[in-house]
Amino acid sequence: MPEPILSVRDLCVDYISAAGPVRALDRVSLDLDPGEVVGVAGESGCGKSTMAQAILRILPPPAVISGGQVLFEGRDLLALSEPELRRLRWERIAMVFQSAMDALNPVLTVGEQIADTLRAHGAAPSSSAARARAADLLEMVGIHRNRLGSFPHQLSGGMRQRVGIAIALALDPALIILDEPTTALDVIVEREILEEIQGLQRKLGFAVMFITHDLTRMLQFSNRVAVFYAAKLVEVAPAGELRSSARHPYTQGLLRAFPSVHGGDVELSSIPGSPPSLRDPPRGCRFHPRCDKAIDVCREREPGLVQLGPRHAAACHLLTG
Amino acid sequence: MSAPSGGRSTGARAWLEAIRRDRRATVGALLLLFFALVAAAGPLLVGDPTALVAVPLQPPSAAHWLGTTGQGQDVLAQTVVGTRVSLLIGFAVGLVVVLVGSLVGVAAGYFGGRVDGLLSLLFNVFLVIPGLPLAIVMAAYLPSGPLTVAGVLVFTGWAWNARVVRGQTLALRRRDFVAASVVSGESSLRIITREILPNMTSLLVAQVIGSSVYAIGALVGLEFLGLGDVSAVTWGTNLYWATNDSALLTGAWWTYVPTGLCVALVGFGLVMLNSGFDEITNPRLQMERAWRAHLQAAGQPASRSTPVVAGHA
Repeated sequence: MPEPILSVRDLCVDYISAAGPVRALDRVSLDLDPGEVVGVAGESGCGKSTMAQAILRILPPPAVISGGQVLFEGRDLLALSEPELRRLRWERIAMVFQSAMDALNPVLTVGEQIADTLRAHGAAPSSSAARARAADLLEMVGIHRNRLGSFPHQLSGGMRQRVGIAIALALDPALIILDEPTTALDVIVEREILEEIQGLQRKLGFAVMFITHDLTRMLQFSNRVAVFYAAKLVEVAPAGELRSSARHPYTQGLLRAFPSVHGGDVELSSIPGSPPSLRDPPRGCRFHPRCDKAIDVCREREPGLVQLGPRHAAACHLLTG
Repeated sequence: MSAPSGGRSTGARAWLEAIRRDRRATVGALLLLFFALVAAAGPLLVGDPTALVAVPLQPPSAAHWLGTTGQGQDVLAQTVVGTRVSLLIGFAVGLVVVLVGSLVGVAAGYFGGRVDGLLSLLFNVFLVIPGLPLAIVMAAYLPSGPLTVAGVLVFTGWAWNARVVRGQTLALRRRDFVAASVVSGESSLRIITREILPNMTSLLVAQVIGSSVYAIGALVGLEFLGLGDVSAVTWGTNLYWATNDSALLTGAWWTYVPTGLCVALVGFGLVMLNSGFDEITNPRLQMERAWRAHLQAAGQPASRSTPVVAGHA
């Protein structure tokens, strides 16, 4: 098994409020192998974006990382200085936001903005080299190179999102974090862009952490999927295994809530209730108030992750028997 | 994923609470409260400020705590009685300046087009006219009195506010929530008063405070130059009479230091208070306060990157 490129260990994030800290991410551990695509799924507020931003240390106040390690290429990102972090961001780890299309400066052409990224990190020896590379990058994400001189308002939302991806690719990062990169786009454009990313990922070999609400999309696109619930990692498994034999009741519930194109006639159902408040999470297993399989121990003790296979783990008391 | 939103409470109690929490705001509020009390009750406690009570130019003594003026009047009584008119006019001018300025500014920014062109031209002209010389000229020609001075200060002071508010309105005008209220059929007046102005509360409060500092200073300045009603007892005329009686030449510091100190303390108090208001009207700063305290307790600087405060996993 290769050495993981990213290894998140017991990562904790608190949001500090006047009423005391609120734990938004609670002892989460997750590994990413080089060139692997790992999906992160879960409801709003479950901590998936918080984790992504904590890895890059770009969580705005009042967030505080209150424990754990983030090992990337052997270095602990939580121990790096500000200049070291600045070099690492984008050169080794890039991120595409949901609003990447709005992150473009309206008064500069997209070519200039890609070239800016290259020049800022010393990745292009001359401005003509930067322009040439910018054109290559545009072509890579499926935009004709003669669009180099276009201003952001002359491009559609999908094209602008592609430019955002081109800028993320510009410095050949080893890891790209996609934080709901296609949520603001329609499904056709979404599929095109995801296929584009998948092709690039296979060609260039970077690792991807892919965050989305859309479980179906994620199962198609990822090698492995991690499911979060109320600030905790509840199950992680290879995509195929998760689809066919999810072991955590929450994951099972999520899967039942999404229709499958190829599956047979399955009754869709939703999980009753809503996620708990992180200010005052339930005792024991955080999912027990919504779980139809809950037993006494679920109300008392918090379950730990149980290894169910080489790459499959879930946190549920039912699995320890 | 958004951070848990800090509860935003409004109303008088929340304002008091925020002032109490911020040390600078507390100092400012106490100073202003002190001067408000002096302005309200002070004249009842001291004697007639214009009465000739003692030998002129006596230094502070047990009988006259702050000494006597060149005319033989009590300096303490003059300073205390002067507080009322000076502060009343100062704050009134501060409020009216912002009121006029924001009305013009909001109208220019919101309606745009020809309205904006005309109003912008107007306040730009006012901005390039040097304020103090115009104020002196106007105050010299108009009948003297506190109201004249107040009018002159509003006339020369509103344009800067109008310009700032216009800029802020232009920025807010393009936001989605304003577009949404246009689509939902709200009237222009309602959009301006419910959607746009509340979003600049902290700016407006800061402007009222800043304008009041300006107004009190300019009021005292004009009166010091003898452009007010020199027979009235205000901080400005106190200073006017002090120089008239050659206080600086004779070293009679007690005739001008008390008034000067009062002006400085009121200005200081207003600026201190401003820092507290900023936090009340900006919920984001309230959240950051707890965050900063948490980092401080851990002996960590507030860094640009997400800070790591290990210890309790």
